[in-house]
Amino acid sequence: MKLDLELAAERVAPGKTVAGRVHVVEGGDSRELTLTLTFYEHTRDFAIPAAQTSAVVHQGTVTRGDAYEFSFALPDDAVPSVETKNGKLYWELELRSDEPGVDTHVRRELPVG
Amino acid sequence: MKLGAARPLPSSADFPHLPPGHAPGPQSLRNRQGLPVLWWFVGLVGLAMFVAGVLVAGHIRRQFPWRDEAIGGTIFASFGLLCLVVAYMQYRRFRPARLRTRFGGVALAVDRDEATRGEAVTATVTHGAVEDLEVGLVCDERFDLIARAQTKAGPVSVRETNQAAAYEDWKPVDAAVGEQVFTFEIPRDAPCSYEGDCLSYGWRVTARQVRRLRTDPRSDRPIWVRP
Repeated sequence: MKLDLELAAERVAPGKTVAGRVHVVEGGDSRELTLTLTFYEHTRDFAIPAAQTSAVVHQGTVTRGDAYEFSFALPDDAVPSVETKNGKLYWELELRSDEPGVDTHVRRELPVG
Repeated sequence: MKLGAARPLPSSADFPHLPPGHAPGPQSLRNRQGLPVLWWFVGLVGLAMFVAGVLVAGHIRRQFPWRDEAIGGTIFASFGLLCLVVAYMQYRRFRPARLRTRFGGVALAVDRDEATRGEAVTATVTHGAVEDLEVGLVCDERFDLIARAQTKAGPVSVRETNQAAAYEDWKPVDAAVGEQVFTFEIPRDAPCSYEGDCLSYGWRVTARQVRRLRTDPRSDRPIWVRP
């Protein structure tokens, strides 16, 4: 199975909506497609999810050419993405397909600010 | 305390990097500043060792040959001095040297506790002819790393918090002028204040006296920078 994440905007401001589409490039047997938006704190030795929200975007088998829309509301006080010499605060979208065997994952960083 | 009741914010003395009204994050709570009792103890023991070593080296007791007492006393005093230096350096990590604020010292005032990125912060410095004084706007990043060491029992990993300046803008203070006003703009792309688990950002306006080969005494005013 092969999936792709398309975002309506490359950068999202706090309080706005993260919207986009999941494109099915190669279909397959999936129980559920779950999209998770996570805020990470990252240093050389640590990557800690500080906030997280999830939503199911589709249930059942997916076929090539299908597209599923999604949207998340970012909180007004969402911390903007930033990278400094020794650390990074960033948001990431992760799409997970729950499948028999190894699940398919697609990750994409979402610039916020 | 009832469940759900509001808890008082921790003392600002424990978290000097936070302006009033802002709660510390998990990382700040882990690294809460207490009394550096251990380093006071090491320093006192080191001082006692140094004094005892000097007295022995000075051949006051006259129990052993002069040369033996001189060598033994010098070694003992040297270890005492080493303990003193280590204790002082560790103490200064907890408590940076402060600028004198009275009797011709330095007073630092900031026009606000909170600001948004892109806004300006005004600092007023009043001083009595203090040389090599600077005022700056600084963003400190505190980041956790794993420190690894090899011991007899095997490899040991310890989580430790380090600090570095993520942003700093310093301006010299004219020694001849008693009161001066400085304006600093917070860059729009700089980190905002954040209290996290393994990474935090804190902002301060600081007056420091630059000294060669010694720690710079400083006076801090923490500010909270909003997105």
